[in-house]
This record gives sequence, structure tokens and C-alpha cells, in this order.
Amino acid sequence: MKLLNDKNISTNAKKKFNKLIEPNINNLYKFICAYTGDVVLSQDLLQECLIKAYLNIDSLKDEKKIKSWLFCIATNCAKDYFKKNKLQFELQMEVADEINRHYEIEMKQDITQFLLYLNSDERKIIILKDMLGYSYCEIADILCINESNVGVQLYRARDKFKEIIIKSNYLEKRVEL
Amino acid sequence: MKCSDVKNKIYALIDNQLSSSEAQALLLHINNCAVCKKEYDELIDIISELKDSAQSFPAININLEELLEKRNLYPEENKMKKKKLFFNKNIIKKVISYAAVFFLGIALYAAFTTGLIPMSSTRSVLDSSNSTVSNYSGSNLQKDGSSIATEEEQNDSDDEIRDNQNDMMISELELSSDKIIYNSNIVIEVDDYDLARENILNLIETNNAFIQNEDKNISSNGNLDYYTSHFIIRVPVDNFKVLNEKIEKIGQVQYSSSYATNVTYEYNDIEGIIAQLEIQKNRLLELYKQADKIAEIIEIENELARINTEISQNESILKNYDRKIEYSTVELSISEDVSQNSLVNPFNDIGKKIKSAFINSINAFMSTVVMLCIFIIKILPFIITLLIIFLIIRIILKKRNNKKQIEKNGNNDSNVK
Repeated sequence: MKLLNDKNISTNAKKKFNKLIEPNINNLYKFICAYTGDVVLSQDLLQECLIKAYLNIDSLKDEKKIKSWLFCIATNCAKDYFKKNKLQFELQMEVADEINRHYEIEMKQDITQFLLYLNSDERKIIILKDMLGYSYCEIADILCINESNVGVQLYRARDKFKEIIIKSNYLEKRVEL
Repeated sequence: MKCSDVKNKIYALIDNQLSSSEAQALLLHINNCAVCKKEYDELIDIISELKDSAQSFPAININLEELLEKRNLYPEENKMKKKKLFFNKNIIKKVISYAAVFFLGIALYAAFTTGLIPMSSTRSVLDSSNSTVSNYSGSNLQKDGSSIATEEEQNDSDDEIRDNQNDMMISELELSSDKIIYNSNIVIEVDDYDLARENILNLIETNNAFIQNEDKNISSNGNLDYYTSHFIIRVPVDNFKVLNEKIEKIGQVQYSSSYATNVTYEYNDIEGIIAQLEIQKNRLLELYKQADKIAEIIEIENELARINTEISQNESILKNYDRKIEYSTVELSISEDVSQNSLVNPFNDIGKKIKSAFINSINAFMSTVVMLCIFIIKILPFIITLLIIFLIIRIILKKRNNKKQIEKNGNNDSNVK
């Protein structure tokens, strides 16, 4: 997927954008979807996030840290959004619920909805590992923590998530459907 | 191997972080232990579900280029935006400068009204009078034998002729012992004001004249202060000419004119009216003696009273004429010629000047502050109403924007569906 046309490439920013950010957009989008649990909202947030990334791409000095940088922007965007639009967020959640009701037949109750019961850090690490399939090493880079620390945090987060899933009887319901 | 070991290492197993021998040992235990097996299966299930769900999100529907264009966020347009901001700053600067000019205007106005900056009207009047006088002074200079440009000579000779005619007219009028009022107007410039004034007072005394009015002013030309005086002198007709001539010798004559008004006709008319009235009065007196009825007597008495007042009025007019004829009027302006004086030290009384300037400026400042306060309070109702209107408009606009946004959101939702 190309968000910026090659034809119009005239500036360094665009070149950098296509080289560094484009390959990560899909993962970024999935991350935001799972992180916010709201498909509609995550389109907006992804836009916001990409615009921020595009405008500030010159401030990125170490190109190896592009993932860490992008996911950091994404979480900040989401947090900012929740902070700013507390009321609107609730409203949009209702809208999202409605949309999800329409989707229900196709999508069933998505397992990602249960991620919202976790706190930010736990959510992040589970999304990165189990949904996006990053390695321990990459996660350590993205979250700027120790590799062994990744194992510990991941263990705790998964444990909590498993408990939530089992409590909600999600697996049984799914089988019924 | 215990179940607790399995629990500790189960995630590592799933993530393939264990060595092959360890993994085999764990798997062996899991296959044999129903509890661990169930837990393992559940975990595998959850994680695979998560992985699958990652693929099930709807596609990204973003046109970033359009978005950037819409928000004017292309680097080029970014600069434009900055320019716009700068422009806004300019507007603020403009507004501030306008406000400054406005307040400065008020301050200046206050300064004028409180007299910090002297109104220059008096001086300008004086200047203009000087300029009109210059022609006459030219003629005098010629009389003194000073050299003058030939172009001006013509004018000067004209003036002389006019002066001569004036004199002739006056002498002619004098010959015919008519009722004539003499006036003259003289402007002279003197080197020493006090001496000149003393001389004038002496002249007035010797000629049996008196001063009807005297003004004394201090004017300033740059750093130089000088006196100007304006006299209205009444002098007996016989001494009129002598006095004029003598006054003109006191200083340099800038301007002089004399004119006579012949009031013989008016005088004679009034005399005739009085004679007529006298005749009427006598006739009425005779009628009064013959009258029998009270009504008649009263009527005649009223008429008599009216005629008497008329006579006395006309007589007083005649007396006024007499006085004017007897005593001619000389209007005399003298001013000190400061240009001939030696240099005046501008540092004279500098402390005093500074003090007065400082006090003046403080007064002006205070009055400016007061005026500003008054002005602000004056426009307060306008500001308040404007503010209210502004707020209302803003609220309306906000509501409209919100509506638009909701509509947009609705559109987005339908797109998603």
C-alpha cells in the first residue's frame, strides 16, 4: 500500500516517509485498532498519527528506532484523544457498539474487545507479541525495555488476559456459535 | 516435573524460547497431565484467536495526500501557514500601533487643553501683522535714505501720495469748521520699551490728553521675551496733529493712518429734530393751558412726557458727538524690537524652565490618565454589548460546526457500513 505517490515525491520528508513509515503502516493500524477496540476511531487516530509522523519525521535521528517511535506516537495519540474527548469518546463508543452489532453476525464477539480490560502496558505488549507477531527482541526495542523484562511482562499480561477470557466464558460461547 | 514448573515455562514453550530437550520434557508432561493439557490448549486457542483477529480488521481507508492537502500540512503549505501566522502577528502589531496613535492623540489633546503646549495663535497673529506692516516700513526706510529694490519703490511712492492726500483732506475739512471726528492709528517699534512708554506718557500730559485704555502684553519670539502695548488715547482736537507727529518720532513707525469722519449732516439733522420737538412741546403747553377736561389733560401730559424724553435722548447723542469732536482718538501700538538687542543667554532661568516644564508635563500626564479613564468608562457599554454579540456569534458558529461534524461522522459511519 502506498499512501504517498512516488510522482509527487519532491521533498526529503516524503522520501523518508515512504522508506521508513510505509512498511509499518499495516501493523500500526492493527495496533491502534486493538489498542482502542474501535475500528472507526482507529482510522482517525491512524490519520492523526501518520500526519504527526510525517511532519516530525526530520526529528527522528536513529532510523532503527522507527518502530518504537511510531508506536509511541500511536499510543500518545490514543491517550490524547481519550483525554480530550472524554464525552465524545463515550458517544463514539456507543456508535461503535452499534456498528459492531451490525457486524456481529460476521465478526461474532471479537476477542480483541477483552484487551480493553487490561491496562495500557499490558495491552501493548500482548498486541505486539500475539497479534503482530514481533519477536522478543523487537518488542524490547519498541518498548525500550530489557529483553528478559519483555518475557516477565508478557507472562503477567497473558496470565491476566487468560483469566479474563476464562471468566467471560468467551471460548465456550464461541464454540456454541 | 511438576505442574507449577509447567505453568512458569508454558509461555516460553509457546514462544519457542526453550531448548528442544526442555520443550520435549514439558510437552511430555502436558500430554500426561489433564489439568496442564487443558490450560495449554486454552492458551494456544487464545493466542491463535488473537493472531487471527489481527487479520480481520477492515482495510485502511485513508488518503494521506488528500488529507495533508486538506489540512495544509505539506511542507510548502506549512510555510504558508507560518506566514499566515506571521500575518496575524502583523495584524496584532497594526492594531497595537493604531491604538498607540489613538492614545497619543488623546494625550496630545489633553496636553493642548491643559496648556502644556502653548497655543501659537497669538504669535501667528503677530507675525501676520508684521508681514502686512512691512510695506509701510519700507517707505519709512526710503525716507531714511536706505537702499531699496526698485520694484518696491513704485509701491512706496504710491503710499507717499496717499499719505499726502490724507493730510490734504484733513486740512481741507479743518478749514470748513464742520463737525468732524478725527481718528488715527499708529504702530511703532521701539528699542527700549520703558523709555518709550515714559515718553508717551509725558506727551500725553503736555498735550492735555488722557489714556482711555492701555493693554500690556509679554510676547516671546524664540528665547526672547518682549513687551507689546496698546493704547487708546483721547486728545483735544487742537493738539491732535502735534501729538501724532511727536509719537511718530518716538520709534520706528510700522504703520500709521489717520482719518476724519464728517458728522455735520447727522449733527444738523439731530439739531433740526430737537428744534421740531421744541415747537411741538410749546404748542402742547399752550393746548394744556386751554384744556378743561381731565381726559384731555392726561392725554396732553402723556404726549409731553414722550416729547421730553425724545428731546433728551437726541441731546445726549449731540453731546456724545461733541465729546468725540472735541477729543480725537489715537490708537497706538508699541512693541519692543528685540532683534536689535544683544544675545540672550538661553540658559537663563533654566532651572525654573525645567521645573515649569516638568510640572506641566506631570499635569498633562495626569489629565491624560483621567481622560483615558473617563474614555474607557464612556465606551464600556459599547464594549460590553460588542462582547456579548461576539460571544453569541461564536456560540452559534460552534453549534453549526458541531452539526457539520456530526453530519460528517454520520457519513463516515455509512461508509463503514
